[in-house]
Amino acid sequence: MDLYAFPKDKVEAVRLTRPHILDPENGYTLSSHFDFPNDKQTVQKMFQ
Amino acid sequence: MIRTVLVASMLLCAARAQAQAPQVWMDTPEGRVKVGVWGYEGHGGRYVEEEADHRLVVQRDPYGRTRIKVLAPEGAVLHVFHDSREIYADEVPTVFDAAPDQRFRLQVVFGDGSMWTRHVQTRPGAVAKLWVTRGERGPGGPVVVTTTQAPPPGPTPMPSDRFERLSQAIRAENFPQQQLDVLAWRPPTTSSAATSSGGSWISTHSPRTRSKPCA
Repeated sequence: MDLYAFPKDKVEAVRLTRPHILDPENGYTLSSHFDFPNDKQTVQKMFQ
Repeated sequence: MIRTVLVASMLLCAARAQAQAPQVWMDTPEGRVKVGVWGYEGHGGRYVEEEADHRLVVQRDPYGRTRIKVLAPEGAVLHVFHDSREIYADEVPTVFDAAPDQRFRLQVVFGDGSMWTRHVQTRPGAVAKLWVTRGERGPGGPVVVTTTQAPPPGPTPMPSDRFERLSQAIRAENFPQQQLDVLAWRPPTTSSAATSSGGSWISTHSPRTRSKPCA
């Protein structure tokens, strides 16, 4: 995640890798890599 | 008069650039996919070539280096030959700093022994990024038989060494979109279809004729 400098790129990286994540129940931990609430919400919705 | 000639030249160049960047889409049962496309993206943009067995992107290197990056398939072995002599070998993904205006033969050997081979001519200050999806087993080619423990049923996590190579491939890119392209690219799902026209930064053994693009 932290290889990407910009928040929108981090969100896009999560979107691209989401189908390959084997433990989506731990997806909430990715929120700590985002600073803005709307980015956190976007990522959390991907794991709902 | 001069102004008229200049405007006409610009329009001609724009039309040629557009003709050299074809967008070919095919409707398949799996959806609408882009197939068999090669040419420039836009006016003075990067060169993109997509075939059923590989994807090649050639663009200017921001630091003016002449390089060849082979980014897929991970775990395959890249051999680079120049004048029938092997000058470089490494596991994919890898970056090869190449001499400009030289013709190299790239050989990617897959884990099952199949190979993918292609000639590439480098251009000064340009980086060629290559993703190979599958090779062909030539007559008399090497046959590699390996015995490994069967993986557990179901999907398995990515091994740490592969994850590290993926991270390195992302770090090696200079711009955010290119970093995302490392994650985004997937092999084409249909066979390729040849398209016409197009300029090239590279010369290959392809039988198609490629003309030099409008400067």
